[in-house]
Amino acid sequence: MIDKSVFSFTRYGVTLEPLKEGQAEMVRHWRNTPRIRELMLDTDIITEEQQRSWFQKVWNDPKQIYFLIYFKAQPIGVASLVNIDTDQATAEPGMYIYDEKYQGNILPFSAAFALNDIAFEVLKLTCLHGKIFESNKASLRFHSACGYQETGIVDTLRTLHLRQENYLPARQKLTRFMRF
Amino acid sequence: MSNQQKLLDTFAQSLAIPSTSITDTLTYNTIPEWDSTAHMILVAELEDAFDVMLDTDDIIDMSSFAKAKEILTKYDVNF
Repeated sequence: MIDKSVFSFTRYGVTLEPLKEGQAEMVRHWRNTPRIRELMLDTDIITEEQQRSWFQKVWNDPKQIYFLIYFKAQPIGVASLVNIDTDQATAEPGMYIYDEKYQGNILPFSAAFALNDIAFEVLKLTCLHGKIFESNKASLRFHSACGYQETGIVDTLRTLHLRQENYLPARQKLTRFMRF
Repeated sequence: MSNQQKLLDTFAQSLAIPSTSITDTLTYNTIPEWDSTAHMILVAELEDAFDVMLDTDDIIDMSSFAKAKEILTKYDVNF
């Protein structure tokens, strides 16, 4: 169980902290940016009011956590665990890097690994489930490099899962470059 | 083989693109082949090819072919 008001997790050069109310509007602007929105399953523009009610729902729901990703004390993106099921020990992760300077290099891996470590080590989950548009080849390659295994296709979405035994060797290959 | 040619070959192999399409203006996120996964393959190949160990800040800053040359120069690789 994570106390969203105080939790902070620093590893691989990045820090993940639960999104706070005062940051929700900044994240709404990020999320509504076309280059971010087009990556989402729901591509609708989000209004200020929708964001406020979304935040209240998320903040009070133990089954979902949204994190701000910080690099060098600056927020650069959002990571999330939703549909956290403590009985099945599963969740669905999500992540985007808003700052374009950090999108195509090592930091997406840093953030994904920190999120996975929260899931496996802090929350004691055993399997993460994901869905990725079949057309999003970069994301498919990224998840494969993180140890995800494909489990099927539903319409235009590939389904994947990540188990800790597949994650740890994949992480080891890349953390040798994280010399922070 | 010159370091310029070695760098060209490493980029071509890591990003799976023809070396003829590589110029100083080649920048990540401008071609689909240069995504975060390819970036890490590129870093590994550069470290092997030039026998260097890059600082993480340099890995992050390596955003173009020209920038790669500039960074490698800091590690005593001459072009």
